[in-house]
Amino acid sequence: MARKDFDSFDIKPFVRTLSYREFLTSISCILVIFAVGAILRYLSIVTPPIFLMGLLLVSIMCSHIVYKAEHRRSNSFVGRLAHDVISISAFLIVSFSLQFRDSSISGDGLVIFFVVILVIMFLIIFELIIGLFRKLLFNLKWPIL
Amino acid sequence: MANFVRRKLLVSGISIIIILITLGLRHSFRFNPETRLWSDSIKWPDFRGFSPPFTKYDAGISSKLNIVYDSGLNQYRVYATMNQSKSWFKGDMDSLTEDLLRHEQYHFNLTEACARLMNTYITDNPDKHLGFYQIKLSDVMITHEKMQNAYDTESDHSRRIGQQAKWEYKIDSMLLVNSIDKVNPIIDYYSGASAFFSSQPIKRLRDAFELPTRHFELKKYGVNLSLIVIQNTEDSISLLSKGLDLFEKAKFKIKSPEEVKNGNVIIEGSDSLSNNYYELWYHSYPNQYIASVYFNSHDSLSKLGYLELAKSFINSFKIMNTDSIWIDEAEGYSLSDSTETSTFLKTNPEYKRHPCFVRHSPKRISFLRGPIRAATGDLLIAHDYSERNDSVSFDQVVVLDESKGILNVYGGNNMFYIPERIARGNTVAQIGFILQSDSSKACPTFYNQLVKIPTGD
Repeated sequence: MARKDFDSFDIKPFVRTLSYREFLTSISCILVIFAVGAILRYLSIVTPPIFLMGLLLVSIMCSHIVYKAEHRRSNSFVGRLAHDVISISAFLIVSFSLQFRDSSISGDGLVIFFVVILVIMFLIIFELIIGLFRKLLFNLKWPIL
Repeated sequence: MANFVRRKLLVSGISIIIILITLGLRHSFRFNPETRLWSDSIKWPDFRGFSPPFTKYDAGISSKLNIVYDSGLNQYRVYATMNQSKSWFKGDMDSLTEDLLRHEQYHFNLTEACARLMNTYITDNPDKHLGFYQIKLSDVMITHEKMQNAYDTESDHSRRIGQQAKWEYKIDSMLLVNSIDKVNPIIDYYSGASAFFSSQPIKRLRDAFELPTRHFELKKYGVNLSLIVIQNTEDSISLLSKGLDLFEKAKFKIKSPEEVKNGNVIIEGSDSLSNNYYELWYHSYPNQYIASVYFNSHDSLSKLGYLELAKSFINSFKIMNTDSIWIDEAEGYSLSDSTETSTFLKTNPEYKRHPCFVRHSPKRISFLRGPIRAATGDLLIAHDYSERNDSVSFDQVVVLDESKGILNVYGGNNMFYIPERIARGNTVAQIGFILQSDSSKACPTFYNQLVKIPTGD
């Protein structure tokens, strides 16, 4: 079995092939979860925040699957992290333009800074868990991811 | 390398269309929301939005708090607005009930109550920057949201009549407490009784058991809220015994007359007409105070709501000492010795030397406050003749036997004034009135009642 590069810290493969397609993947995945959220909200179905967070995680995972399908190789660890940042940025842009469309945003700069830091830390932890899980599967000779 | 660009664009396009359509539906496809300021008389045509799909409710209202700078007042003000584009009803407007509209109106009223609460805060903390007020506004908005949800949950969207009534009373009370003129609970200056009516009660003119009575009543929310004060005669507790007789007929259980006579008694029950009672009887001689709530409920859940309303009303009952209010009011009148001249006697030359009028046998004819002794030693006795005989003009007369003094008091101040030097030596004053129509008679009828004059100690 060939050595997998999913736990590589080499960002070069990701940067080398980085194009509008990665951005389009992130945006389309994020738009899908917003569409689902909009439908649920319109239908007055109670959507707890944890459910919406779950949708966001699913969307991030989908973007990695699409990346693998498009490039016929898994993204590296750092590459996935970079892709996540793109996805989160897309999420923030879309949510700011839709969610808070007609309400004023008042917030403390420091709070926003901490939220951004927390999101980045969350992404790193999330990717680490995924990476460890994949490594575990790889070591078990069951590389389904 | 596979290329999913087309698919991704397709997915994005479909998602955007879905988002825009749902967004448009939620705002009823109006770019600028149609809003209106609070009023207590919204109508179904004010609800202009599309109803959400699959909703089990018949109507919904969207109201919110807005803070703006009022250049006229030179300060920030919070207004309650209804977003008409997001307020909706289902089906034909003629098929919707008034009860449902009232339920939605009270949602809006609750928003207005919170706006008034916020405006009170702004008035108490003037000349601050917007951020300062927004911190408080955030708290108020959270409370507002919680209360709106509790209102819907407890009243089951107006289906639980008793709970709906309780919330209407509560919201009206909030509106009243935070109104600009800060209306206080009703205080009856004659009896000192005070209770919180959520809107202006009607003053009833009636005698209970032929005894002078002060009676305030509010019929609202399917409930009859009353504050009744009955003035006992000096030498009896006939009222109590009569009242107890009534209770006996209504199958109330009171352990003993002493229980009522000695203070607080809460009475809960129902009569033969299925009217439920929740009453407080409080005896403080010479007055019998009754704070009473009547309601009609057929199910236990509604009864629970009505009972909460009743308890809230009865808990607001207080007795206050209003002597200082009457003394202050007396100072506004120029009470001089000239008021002691008995003008109607002067007009009757045949009776120059002796007073002449037919003394009607003394009887409690008016609710009295006093005698109140002012700092000067003068006595004040407040009465409600004019309220009880508002279509009759009369002369007010005080007869003091010991000093042979007769005071003929004019004016509409609902008060007898007896100077200290005249009152001295008298233990009883006969106070009353002569009807204007009788004043030309040689010997007019003097309708009077006896009042004990306190010693000067």
